[in-house]
Amino acid sequence: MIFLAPGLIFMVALFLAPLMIVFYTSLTGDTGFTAAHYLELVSRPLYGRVMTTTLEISVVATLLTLLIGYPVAYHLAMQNPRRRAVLIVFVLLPFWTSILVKSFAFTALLGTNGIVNAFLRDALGVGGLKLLFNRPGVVIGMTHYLLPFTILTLLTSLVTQDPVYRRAAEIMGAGPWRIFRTVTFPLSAPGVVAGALLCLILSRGMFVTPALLGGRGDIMVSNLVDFHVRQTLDWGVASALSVVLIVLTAVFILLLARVRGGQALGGPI
Amino acid sequence: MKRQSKHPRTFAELWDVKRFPGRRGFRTRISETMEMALLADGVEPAKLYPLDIERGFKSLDRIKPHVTNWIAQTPQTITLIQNNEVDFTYAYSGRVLAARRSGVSIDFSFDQTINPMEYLAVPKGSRNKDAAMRFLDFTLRPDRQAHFAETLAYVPAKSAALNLVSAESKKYLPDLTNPNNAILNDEWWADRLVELEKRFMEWQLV
Repeated sequence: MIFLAPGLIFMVALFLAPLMIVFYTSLTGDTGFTAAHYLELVSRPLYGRVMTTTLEISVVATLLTLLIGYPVAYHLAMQNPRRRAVLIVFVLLPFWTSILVKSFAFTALLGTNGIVNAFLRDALGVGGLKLLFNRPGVVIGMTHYLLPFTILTLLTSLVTQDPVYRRAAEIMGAGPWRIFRTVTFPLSAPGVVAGALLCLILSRGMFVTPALLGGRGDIMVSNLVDFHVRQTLDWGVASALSVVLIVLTAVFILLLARVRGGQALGGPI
Repeated sequence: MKRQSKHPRTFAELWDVKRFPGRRGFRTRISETMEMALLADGVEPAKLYPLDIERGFKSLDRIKPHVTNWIAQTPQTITLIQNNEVDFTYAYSGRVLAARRSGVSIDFSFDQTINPMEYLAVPKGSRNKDAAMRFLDFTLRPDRQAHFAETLAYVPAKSAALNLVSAESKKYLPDLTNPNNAILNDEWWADRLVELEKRFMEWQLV
């Protein structure tokens, strides 16, 4: 217990206490306690719209990440440990790069005069693709950010699978596709769900990516918090938005904890 | 990348998408943008205030389909032109001049400008009030003001300083005696900004 003290003090002083202040600010106005900030979130179309955008972008980015990440994780899981260790570096390289740097790199890649469009124009003669300052831009940037997290989560679940099940299926005459469909994939389902929830949690609070790669129609809740903190100086509404964001994220984290515990999915085999 | 040879010189022309087709980049802030919209709609610069908000939003409705970027970060008023993301933006003379000095192909029209003010303030109860006041005196010296105008290309607060500015640099200063130019009224905005910023944000997202 005594060894927990430093971490506990750190979290209480620098995380929990400020969080309580945010919570308090969201419930107070010029005249004392008020629900006005929360009522504004419900009464103005702005907030519902941005919440919807946030959800849309999170879900699309999560699905794309799983679609791209699963084959990579599967491939890595099938390598011998030494080869896998080498290949994982390629997954971790973008993971170690700051999201700010990555987002700026994407503006150079995806712009009208960017590398992608220049290639399409010069090599294929295809007209300019609008990939920056819109939804595709945000989804590309975000999927790129989420991939390492998902791949590592999926990889853990795939590597820890007992190969005995696969071998049994093989002995019983199942082909590679059938083994994947009936054994490997179902066994990795908790990993897929954990990866998806992790993506949803991480993308919920995205700020840099929509700000740098998105257009006005792609702003997410965090950007709206920023707007209220810096532009309108309405910290009450900014706090209320943050509280809503925290509650939504907490729900997903609770779900994640259940999946990780293996209670929600997988079931008895 | 070839630049358009024809370009708008006033806000009415910036709104004229038939004569000046192209992608426009506008600011996400309602102050300045509202003034632009009203000037484009034919309001006389001297009679801008009190701003006719409804008329302004109607004017903005007309140009909205042609605005490809709503610019939240001020440096993007230059970089979006530089990177060929937009053809025309509302930018700031000092930034345009700095970009030109570093070789960016960009120009600025002084035929019609909106001029916001900068403020230097000393906080109430400051421990260094005397020093702060001396600093304010210093910044208001005509030679310092002229140096500021030469370096940053913004109009000096003291008209006496204008005589000390070189003719070359004056080309990059808006002429405040030109009746086409408007001066932003911060007092009018003071208690309306928050509500209108929110409304403008909503308007952009719908």
